[in-house]
Amino acid sequence: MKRWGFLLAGLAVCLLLAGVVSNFASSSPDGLEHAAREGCTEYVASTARSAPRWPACSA
Amino acid sequence: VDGLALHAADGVIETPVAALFAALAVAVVAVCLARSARALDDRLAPMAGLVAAFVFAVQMLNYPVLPGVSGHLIGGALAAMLVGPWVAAVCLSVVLLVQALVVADGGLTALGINITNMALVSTAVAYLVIAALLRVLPRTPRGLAIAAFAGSVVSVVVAALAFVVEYWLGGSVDLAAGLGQVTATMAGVHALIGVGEGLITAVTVVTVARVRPDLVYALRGARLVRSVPA
Repeated sequence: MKRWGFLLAGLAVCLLLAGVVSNFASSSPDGLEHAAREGCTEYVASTARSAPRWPACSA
Repeated sequence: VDGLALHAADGVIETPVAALFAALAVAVVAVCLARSARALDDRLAPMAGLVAAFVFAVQMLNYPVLPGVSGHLIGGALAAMLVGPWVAAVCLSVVLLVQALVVADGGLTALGINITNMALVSTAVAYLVIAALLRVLPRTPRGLAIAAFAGSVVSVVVAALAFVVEYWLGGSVDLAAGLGQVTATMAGVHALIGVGEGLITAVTVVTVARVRPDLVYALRGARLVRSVPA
């Protein structure tokens, strides 16, 4: 495959992934957020301090 | 935006620690830029652009790893295999910079943290694992796939552990679950995310190696052999 053919094919794959396949991406919380939520559950319950800064903790 | 795996938001890490890692990231990325400038020729330069675009696109694709938990590729192993470690670190830093500036994935003050973990730690670890494995594995599609997979899994877990260390140094919320459990959760979940990353990386790298083996940095100009010579 020629250089430009390869690059154009690669860019086409990128556009397809970003434009079409991404519609089927999971919207569940990701690994970091999940770990944060697990770590924060009791924290939120046990303190009256307002709005901890880890966003997941305020959820 | 419902966060992306390992993209820390603003304020998760206290400012002094975030600033420390920002300074570290600037210094290391500067070294990577200098090394990249030497390495980039007219074969590698378009590949660097393509790798950055591809990683940016694939990072949008969160896949489920557990019920109610998702993750996405970081791209350290993929980029290191295709364009080498120095250019890879620069590519991923650019992706993270654009994500922070344009689509608000990962906080701006957490950019140093995010670049350290996902561009520098993940790429370095992936490259070391892959380079070591490719010394002993045959240059077959399977050998390349195994190196890609292992490099991905190890690099994602170590990047997650790097975040735990940063959080231990400057986390702004006391975690009720304790550091031990957070470490275990982060490592466990990211091992699963790493498996997904490993599959994507293996398929992508082997595909490129079949079509244009000369564009795969990890092969260093060698062709992919169909099977191990007897």
